[in-house]
Amino acid sequence: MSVAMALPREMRPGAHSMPGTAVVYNDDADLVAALHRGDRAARTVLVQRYEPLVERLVAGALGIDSEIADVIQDVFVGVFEGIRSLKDASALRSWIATLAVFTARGRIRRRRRWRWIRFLAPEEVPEVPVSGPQGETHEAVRATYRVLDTLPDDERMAFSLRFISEMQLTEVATACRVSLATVKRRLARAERRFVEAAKDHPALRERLQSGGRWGVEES
Amino acid sequence: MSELENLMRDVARTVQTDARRRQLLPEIQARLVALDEKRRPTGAVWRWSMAGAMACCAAAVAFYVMQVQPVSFAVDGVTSAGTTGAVGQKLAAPDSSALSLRFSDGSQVTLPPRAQAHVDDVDNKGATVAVDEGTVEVSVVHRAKTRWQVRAGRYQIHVTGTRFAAGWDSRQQTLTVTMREGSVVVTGPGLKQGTPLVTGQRLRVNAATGEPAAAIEDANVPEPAAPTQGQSKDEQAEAAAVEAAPAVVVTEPAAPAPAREERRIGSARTRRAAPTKLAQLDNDWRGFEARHQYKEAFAAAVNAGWDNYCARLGADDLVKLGNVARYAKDAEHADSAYQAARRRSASADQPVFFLGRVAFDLRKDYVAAGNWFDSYLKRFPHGPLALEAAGLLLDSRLKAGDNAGARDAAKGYLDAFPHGPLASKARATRGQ
Repeated sequence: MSVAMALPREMRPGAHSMPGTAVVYNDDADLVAALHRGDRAARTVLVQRYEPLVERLVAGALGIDSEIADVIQDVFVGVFEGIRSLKDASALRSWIATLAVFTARGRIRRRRRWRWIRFLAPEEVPEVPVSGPQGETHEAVRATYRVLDTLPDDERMAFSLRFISEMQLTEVATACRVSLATVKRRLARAERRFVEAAKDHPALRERLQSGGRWGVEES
Repeated sequence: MSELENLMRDVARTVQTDARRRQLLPEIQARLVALDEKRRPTGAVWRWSMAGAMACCAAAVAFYVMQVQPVSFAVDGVTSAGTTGAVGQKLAAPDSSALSLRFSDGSQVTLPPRAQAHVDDVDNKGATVAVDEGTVEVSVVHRAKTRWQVRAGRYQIHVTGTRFAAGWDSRQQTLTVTMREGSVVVTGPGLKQGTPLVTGQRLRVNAATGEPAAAIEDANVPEPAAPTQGQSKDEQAEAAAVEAAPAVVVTEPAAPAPAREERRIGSARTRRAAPTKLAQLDNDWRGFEARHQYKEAFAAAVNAGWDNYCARLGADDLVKLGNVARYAKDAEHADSAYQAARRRSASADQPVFFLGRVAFDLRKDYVAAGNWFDSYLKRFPHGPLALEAAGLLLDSRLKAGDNAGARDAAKGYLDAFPHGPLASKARATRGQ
């Protein structure tokens, strides 16, 4: 056991705890240093700090899906396994975003392969029931992801990161590990394909034509 | 901002709201801790892992054995309480009491006094029961790959999971099937391609004359449902009114009528069975619906006889049919399908909600819409559409200019969904 690990948590470099609360790390550099030391409390803090980001990216990529928790778990397992390779602590956020993007894309690809192996058309594959919005909202969200299912994986990821997870273009490029120009090209192609395919889905077609009512707003 | 961006922003809100509602963080934390513990093997953990693996193997073997094991059955009667039944053994209920066959898959066949039957065959997916005389009550438990049949003379009733009565008059060679729940397909003389039957229908068919003399009538047979706990008297009365709604007249589809010989049997509520045409027409609108071509699906359903569908389909399909009309922006037909769904199943929540949506979206009748959503929330306060119903109730009251009603709706919304997507609007309405 290292000297740092032998110290009480609040005495380790960069970490302190407030009365009655869990240990706190001042910034990502402290957090990464603690993770490099194998500090288990740092893992908890990392998950608390970055789960919302990962959730936003994964949910944006997969939609309302019963496997979101599995994918988020996979992302953090990847983070813990690879944290020692991360040298620049300031890149922690973008590195986690990249892991989330690639893990979600891997899940989408695996599903596509699975469907092919089952020799079933996508619409014949039974959906896993999940709780979520019903009625027209559900119909439009489902239609959106059905259309996204028809897009090439890279274009789909760029599209969902930009429009659903609402990332900046530069963030999308970093997360996808491609140039800004490539992201722009992918987005342009994805947008064209999406609008074209949306014409076959009334819930989307009407919305894109008239901007109808959705019925859900942010709290 | 483009419509696409607006649309995607709404998708994002919906998806993110759903993810937040599921509160994944504690689950992820717990999973990661559990995973971490698993990755630190100790001698004890290793032993437990081995024991667990062996238990899983044993369970898998047991599952396999259960899967390949044919169902068995016991006979309960006056003189034979729970004795194991044998395939082919003639069973005759005494003059004054019933005989009950209890199957290992949970299904049950009851022979009322003087009825006669025997179990023809059993396998791992179900059984074939032959009715020799009288009317038997059948209750089949639905499982994956269930294969159950009831045979009567030359007729077969193909069952998945359902309850019905099958009567066989061996002298008159007449089969009567009365559906209580679910659906079956009946094949045999006079029924070329198989006749589907759904809840509330009764089929009588005679094989003796050699002529197709089948009749399906709306039997209005569902047993009265017990009042749901927590329902008010008004709600119970409403539910009872739905249950007691007059039976729907079954009519022929409009389009194929000229080619079909039609002979009314008994009352005006009976009709000749025409399974092949109906099945083909049925496929038309369902095919369009599956491809999201709602206008085409609507046209196909209207062409084939909308009222006939409303009389024949089960509650789930009626909701689907109503959605087709709603997407095609035909309020009248949508209403008729949803109302039929309500009559078919008083406990179904979707018809009530979608009647509200028709009033809100198509008729712009916000008072009526509010009443439907209010009704939904009273009857199904924890229903899957409660969140949307509460939001739409608030919107309906606001659009109707009913400020007091809107404040009540806002209070109800915040009580039930304090972090719901319309919580800020509800707070604003309440003046907080």
